[in-house]
Amino acid sequence: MRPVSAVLSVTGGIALAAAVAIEWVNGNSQAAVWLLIGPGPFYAVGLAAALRRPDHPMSAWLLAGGTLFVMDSSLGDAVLPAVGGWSWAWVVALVWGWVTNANTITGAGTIGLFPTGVADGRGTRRTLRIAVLLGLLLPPLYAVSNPTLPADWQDQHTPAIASPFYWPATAPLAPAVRLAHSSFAVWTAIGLVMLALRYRGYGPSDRRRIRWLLLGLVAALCVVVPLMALAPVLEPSRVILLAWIMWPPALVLILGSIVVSVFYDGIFGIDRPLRRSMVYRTLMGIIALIYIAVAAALGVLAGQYLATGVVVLFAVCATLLFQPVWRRLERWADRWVFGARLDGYEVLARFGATLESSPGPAELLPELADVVRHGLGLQWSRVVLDLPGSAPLAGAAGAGVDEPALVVPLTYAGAEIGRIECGPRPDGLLLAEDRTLLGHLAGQAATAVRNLYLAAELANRLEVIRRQAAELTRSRARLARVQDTERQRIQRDLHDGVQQDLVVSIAKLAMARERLRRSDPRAGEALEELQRDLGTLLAGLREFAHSIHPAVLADQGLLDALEGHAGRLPVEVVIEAETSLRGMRYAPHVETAAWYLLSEALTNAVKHSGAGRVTVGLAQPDGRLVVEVRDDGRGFDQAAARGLGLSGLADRMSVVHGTFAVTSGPGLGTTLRGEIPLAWQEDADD
Amino acid sequence: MTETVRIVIADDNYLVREGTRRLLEDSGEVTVVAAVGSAPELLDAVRRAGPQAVLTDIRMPPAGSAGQQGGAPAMEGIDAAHAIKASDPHVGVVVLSQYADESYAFELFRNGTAGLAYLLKDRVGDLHHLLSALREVAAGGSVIDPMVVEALVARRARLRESPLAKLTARELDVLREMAQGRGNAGIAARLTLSESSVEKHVNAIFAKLGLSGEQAIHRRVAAVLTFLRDAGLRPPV
Repeated sequence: MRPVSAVLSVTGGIALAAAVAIEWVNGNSQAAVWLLIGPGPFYAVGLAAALRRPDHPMSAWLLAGGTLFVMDSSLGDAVLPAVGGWSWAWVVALVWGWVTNANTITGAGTIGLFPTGVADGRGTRRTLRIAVLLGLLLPPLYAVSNPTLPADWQDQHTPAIASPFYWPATAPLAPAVRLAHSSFAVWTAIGLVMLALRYRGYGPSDRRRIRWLLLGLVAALCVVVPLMALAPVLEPSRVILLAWIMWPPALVLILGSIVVSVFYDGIFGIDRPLRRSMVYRTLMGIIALIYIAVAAALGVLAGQYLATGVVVLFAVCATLLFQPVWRRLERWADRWVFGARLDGYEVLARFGATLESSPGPAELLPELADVVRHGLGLQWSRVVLDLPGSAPLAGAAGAGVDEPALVVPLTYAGAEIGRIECGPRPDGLLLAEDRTLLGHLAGQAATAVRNLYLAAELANRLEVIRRQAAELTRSRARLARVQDTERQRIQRDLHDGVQQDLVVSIAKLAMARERLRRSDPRAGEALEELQRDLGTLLAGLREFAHSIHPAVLADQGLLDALEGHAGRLPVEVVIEAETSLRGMRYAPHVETAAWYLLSEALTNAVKHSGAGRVTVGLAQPDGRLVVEVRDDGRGFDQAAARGLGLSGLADRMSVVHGTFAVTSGPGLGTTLRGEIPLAWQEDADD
Repeated sequence: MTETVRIVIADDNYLVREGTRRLLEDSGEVTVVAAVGSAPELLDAVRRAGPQAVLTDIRMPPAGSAGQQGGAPAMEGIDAAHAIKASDPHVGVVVLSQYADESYAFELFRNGTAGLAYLLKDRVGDLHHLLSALREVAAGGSVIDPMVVEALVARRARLRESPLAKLTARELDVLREMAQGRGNAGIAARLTLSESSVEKHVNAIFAKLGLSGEQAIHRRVAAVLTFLRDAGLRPPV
């Protein structure tokens, strides 16, 4: 403990003990008790603070305040009445005036400089300097301008003490000086204003450090100000009664708030966070205390003027009228303790509005998260939507997303489709009502999130369809290209083959005629040759027509056409099929597509594979036509680029909603397999 | 000189119809009693003129419909042949086809081979073959174009697992002739063999293929054709 503090402690202790002893000896027990329960606790708090944190400026302020309060009461209540008759009593009166003012100023300083104890601005410092100056000047000014020195207003026994410095010339100043003197206590209120101003300018964490004190002081003010206001109009006995009623709550509020602020909010390094529910209950207790005190005071006040029955009626009315105020106070206390939150109804309403505005998938989740975060006053919140087959979609609001304090599942039709994750509240725990509210929100959100889910799925599917459509367009273009190539081939074959052969035949016919005209015996020879040529041409034409589209396919069906075709090929072709497939007819588009696959595969096998044997399988299991062509040829590397022929086959199969697969590898032969559903109705789109 | 055969010609192409008619009439062995351009006209002419044989194109689209493509079987010639056989079994029918696919022949022989012939149109240039086929069907025999039989037998014979692989070259020759509809005497003449050795070969073939010996020519043809047909398929594994 520093020397100044030690001196203050000792002085305060001696003064208190002496005053109590004097009052007790004089038989003034009421005053003795007042000393113990009035200034006593302030002194004790100051002493405790000084012992705990001797080097903290606030400790000095508290101890000085407590000591001066003790001395003020001792001098005013005990010493002055005792020495009132003595010739040097004016010294005590003067000192008492200074002590009173010093007490007021330390009070204002303690409050106004809380929690640092150091003036942090020029305005504060100047205000305190003015207070000190006034406090020093007022007692002498009083003594000069007034014939008697100020006496304690509540003490009727103390005789007026004449001022030895009275100077009648200054008498006109007397009323102003008396007013300034008697209202010096208002400086405490100025300290309160300083505190309030500082509170406004502070951030949340600083605010929390001083709000208890502010609350306690304002509450105490609510108690003390009416008391002070009523004092002049009431009988002294009733004023004393009122003071007795009002003092305990005021004491509890002021000292309680100081103790809580100092010892619980970390100013002195003792950081013991209070349980919020306890704080809330305490706060409600304080409010109840004030309520009782005010009601009692009003009752006492009314009792002076009115009959008892009317007073009772009045009290009942006042209680009823106070109900809305009570509720409002309750809500305010809730908000003050648990932080700014929206009430459940408001949250639900906002939530509904967010859902109604039905923003896109990118916005809905974060917006829902934001409403939850704001509604419950959370540090952060996150809405997660599980998507099958892809990463979950999440929208978060707030910073520092971490391990959630609470997770509420979003269920739709019994299945969990996502969840709402809640971060911690910056100032406390989530309450049961928060959980209930969150449950309601989750119920509402599930439908919207489900829609979002469907929208996401739809988007996925649309993407697939778009890709398929693009592939379809490409495949159609390829088909058209293949058709064009085919037409060109037919044109060239007719032109270069049949047409040339016919020209030759015409020439030979002309030659035969010429020989006949000349009766050349070789005419028959020429005609015979011509007949042979035409026979060959006819056979060639038959093969050519067959290669374009075999008539037997249209007339007899797939298996017969295949058998006829197989007979024309220079390799062994084994046909695996049930005899029941003979004469089996399918829709023309199925037969054409299957035929195209068969003939292409067989052509490939003959031309490229070097196969000695090709096996063709034809089967019709459960509504599909399965066509498979296997050769024992050299095969090819499937990783290498696929030929146009194979992609053309794939295109052809896709047109009839069939599938097409190639299996091959160097030295492994090649297997082409196509499956065509028989149930598809061909659209008349071409 | 043998008696002329009274025939009806049916072909939707006027030039082919008239050309064939002139060719056959020029031979002096045939009397063309009617030449028509469609299947209904053919049936009508057969009913009225009562020919011994009919020479019909396999495909005769109804007048006015030029497109023969369309998927539906358009085998008016074969259908007409079946209709004629149903109403008058004694009238022989020669179907001229541009298709070498054996399945058309099988379709024609669906209800039996007697009095039916399947020839390729190429035979129009082979007057002798055409006339003998007409005479054959008029007499109740059956004929299949050698090109069709050749393709049929060749493919079956190429299959390694086929029973035909067990036949000797000579037996295969005999089988071909049988499939074309010839009797033992005809085969013997064609292959310059004695009838008794042909008979031996025929018995050997039937034994190797697991067929029961058939004596009636048209039944024998049917049995051989059915065998050849089914020998082309292997049951799926």
